[in-house]
Order: sequence, then C-alpha cells, then structure tokens
Amino acid sequence: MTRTLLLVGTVVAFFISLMAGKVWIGPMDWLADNANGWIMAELRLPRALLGLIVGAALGLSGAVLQGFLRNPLADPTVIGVSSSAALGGVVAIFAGLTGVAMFASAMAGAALSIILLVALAGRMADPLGFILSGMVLSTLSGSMTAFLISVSPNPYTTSEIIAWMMGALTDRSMAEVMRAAPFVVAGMGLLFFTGRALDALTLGEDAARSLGIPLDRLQWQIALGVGLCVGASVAASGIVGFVGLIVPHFIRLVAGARPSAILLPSALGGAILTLVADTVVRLLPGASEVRLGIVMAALGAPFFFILLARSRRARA
Amino acid sequence: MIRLEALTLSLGRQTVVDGVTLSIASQRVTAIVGPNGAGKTSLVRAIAGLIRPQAGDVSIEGQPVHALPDRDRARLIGYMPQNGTPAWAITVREMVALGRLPHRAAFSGESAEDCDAIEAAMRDTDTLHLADRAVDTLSGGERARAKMARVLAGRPRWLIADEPLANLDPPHQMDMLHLFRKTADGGAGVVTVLHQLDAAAQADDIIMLADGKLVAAGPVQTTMTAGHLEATFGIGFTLLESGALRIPIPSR
Repeated sequence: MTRTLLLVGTVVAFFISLMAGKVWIGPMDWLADNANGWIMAELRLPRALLGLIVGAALGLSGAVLQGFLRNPLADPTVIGVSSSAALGGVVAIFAGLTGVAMFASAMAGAALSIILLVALAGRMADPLGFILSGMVLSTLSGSMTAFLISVSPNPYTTSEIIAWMMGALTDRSMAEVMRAAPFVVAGMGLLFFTGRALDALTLGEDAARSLGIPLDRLQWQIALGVGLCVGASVAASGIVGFVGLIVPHFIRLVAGARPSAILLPSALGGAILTLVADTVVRLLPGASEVRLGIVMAALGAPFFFILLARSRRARA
Repeated sequence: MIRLEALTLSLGRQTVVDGVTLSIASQRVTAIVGPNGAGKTSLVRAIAGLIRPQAGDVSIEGQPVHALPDRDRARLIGYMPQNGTPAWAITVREMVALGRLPHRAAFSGESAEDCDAIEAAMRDTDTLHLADRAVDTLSGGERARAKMARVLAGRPRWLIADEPLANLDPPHQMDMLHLFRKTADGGAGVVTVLHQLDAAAQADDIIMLADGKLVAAGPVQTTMTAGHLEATFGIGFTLLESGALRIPIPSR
C-alpha cells in the first residue's frame, strides 16, 4: 500500500517536474518543434531525470547507512563520501576541467574515500569506528576544499566552486544524466540486496553473524554501493544534503522500523522530495534560483516535525 | 557432540580462555558457571563460531566450527547473545522471524514451515500475545523471552545461550528452564551460561570455569561439589538437599 502510493507519487512528481517552471509546458508541447519542445528536451527532461536518480540514490544510501550503522543520524555526508566526492569536483574546477574529466575527478574522490574508510574502520563492521573514520575523512576533505577556495585564482572560480558545492540540478544536460545513471543503477543494485543482512543486524553484530550474515562482505558491499550512488550523485549535482538523512525517517513513520522494509520506499521518497523541491526552486519568483538544498530543508523540516509529533502522540 | 580441544582464546593481547578440553553431549542441558571474567562468554562465542581460537579447536559433530559455511553453521547453531536491545523498534513477530533467515531462500517470503516455526517458538516462550508490540516497549523479561523465541524459531540442533535468565522473574526463570529441558528432549543440545547456581543445579551437565581455565566438567550430581565450587568461586559453599536437587549456598 505504502509502496504503491510512493510509486504513484514518484510518477506524479516526475511529470509535474517536467511541466512546471517559468513556462508551463503541457503534454501536447513536449515533442513540439518549437521553443517549448526544445526546453523539454534540453532542460526539463534531463533535470527531472537527474532529480529522480539523485534523489533515489541518496534516499536509498541513507536508509542503508542508518540500518548498517544502527544510527538514525547516519547519512552519506556523515561517512565522508559526499565531501570527498565534492573535493574531487572542486579539484577539477580548480584545474579548469569540465565534463567527463570533472565527473571522473569527483568519482575518484568518492572511490578514494571509500577505500580509506574501510581501511580505517578496520575489517570488522564496527559502527562507531565507521562513523569516526567517516567524520575524520569528511573534515579532512572539507578543509582541503576550503584551502582550495582560499587560494583560488579569481572570484569567478570561487563562486563557481561554492555554487557547485551547494548542489543544484540546474542546467544539466542529457550527457550528464547518462554519465551518472550507470553508476547510480549499479550502486542501488548493490544496496537493494542488503535488506536481510540489515534486518539481522538489528539484533547486533554477534546475533547477525550467528544468523549466517558475513559482515566483512556486507561492509564492502555497502561501502561500494554508497560510493557509487553518492559519488555519481555529487559528481552530477554537487552536494544535495538532507535527503539521505530525513527520508528514511519519514518512511519509518509510515512503513515500520524493519530496515529491509524501508529500502525501496526510501529510494522512492528520496526521488519525490528531490523532484518536488527542485520544482519549487524553479517556481519561486526572483531573477536567480534559490538553491535546492535550502528549499529541501525548508520543505522537509516542518513536514518532518509534524510527522514526529503525530507518532509521539500515537505512542503515548 | 561438541568437542573443545585445548581451546585457547584471546581478546586483544589478553588470554581469556586457556587450554580448555571438554565434550558437550547433545540432548542434554549443559550449564556453564564461573565468576565474572572467567571467560564464559568467550567460550560460548567460540562454540557459536563467532571468535577464532588462538590455539586449539572447536568441533561440532566432528566438523571444525570455523570450517562450516556461514549458512550451515547458522542452521546448526542458534545463539542468544547476552545483552543488547534491538537497534530499531521492530515488532516482536518481526524479531522472531529473523530466526528463520538461515532457512529462507533468496527473494522469497516466509514458507508455511517458517510460519509454523515462528508461531511454535512464540507459543513456547509465552510471547504470542506480544506479536504486534514494538520491541522497545517490552519489559526486560518480555524482551528476554522474545529473544529466546527468535533463537528457537530457527530450530537449531544446538542452542547456545549467554545468561538467558538475566532479567527474568522466578516464574519465567522456571519456564525458561523447562523450555531448555523440552528443547533437549526434542533432540537438541542446550548450552547455557548461568549465574544462578540454583538454576545450574537443575541442568544435566555442568562446566565450571575460573580465570579462563577449566575447573571441572561433568554431570551436575557428581561435579558440582563443595570443593569444585570453592575452587571456581574462591569462597566456601554448603550444598542444601532439596528433593533430588542439591542447591549450593555460598558461605564465608
């Protein structure tokens, strides 16, 4: 029931995202040989597709990380993957690289952080070690990014870096969607298969292992899956925060607490939140667009507080 | 039969179990007793295949535990850890169902056999009425019984429990001991760490550990003597006869 609603919601959010903007483009105009047809093909469609895959990737990554680390505060930014991928992107901007080279640089940043993370956290899946290592990595790449900004050669580069860091789906082309999609699909594939292991981990590491769950392999599977999902998302759209943290909490309130039960719904919920927030970004008046992350937080936070208050009341 | 052969276990650089050799028979309830820090938990974790021996070996029915594939080991051995509350507020039914994971085929739901095993385990542990309760709303005793139901749902050949009586009131302690007896009579082996010596007195066999070393192992009737108890716990004991049982009472 929840899944069906979320699936319908995702489809609706996707089509609204296609139609809404400074100009409204109805379905009759999508394939038209005029300005509206061009906007649809070159701007709206890649933007909506990117919102779909980035939102789904981040929502799923957050749900898996929270389950794996058994910590409701975990999300891709906590374990340092987002900021490492962003550092890769910033290095590329700094070096004047664009397109594929910039994408590759961001993915390389994500890959490096995943390897360091698993090496630092050790062989055992110890949540605290994982979080601490991630926070160290996050701080390290954050300060390196700050350093690059402080020595950037001109104000234009500085503002380009800052704008990119804040995350946006604006002016992305189909080429960028096609670059990110395979990585996100592969990463999500890895993460969707962690459900039972995450359920078992609810009982703790010893109980999970006694139920036959190979925790070493699970740790690699999750690190790789999150690395692919988040690396590609950041490479395509900068750091889009909030989704990975907040969406699994929404979903838990409606779908129950079992980690495997929230994986697919979190992916769908992430896509919906990202698409809706990005649509609002476009509709807000003003010459320049408000940043996606800001709208996301403004939309999500009150909604989340309402849900939280209702669930508290239901339990009391 | 479980066989420990010169088993030595280390946590970091500390040796916690030192050269223990013994056998544990199936279809019997075996209690492990000893003072805090004697190495009881490490011993049962090694039997459950969760820590690798520094030296020596643990074998179950002739096979080294560490050589068993994860899934086979999980079907053979049910392990109930000592502490720990579930990380998420899943329902009791969901938690008990986790015990069936080693039996479930990939990408399939619960089979009729899974459902039967889950229901039987919940009935045996008096947790059926808690099925839809979130585990974080349970009392300590209810949670302990739900955790036991999770292990029993897997219908393991060996049931390894680390202090399953902690947090239980006397009636539920008695129920748990009956459950162990029933499980052993049903063909499984039950190995349990116990702190209450009166409960240990009701087991079939006893393993007495002190400071990582084996003090004595064997049938309760002949092994739980005042001498062995003093060697294990470092204080004197009087054995109080109560029917067929001999209950140890500590004395200084």
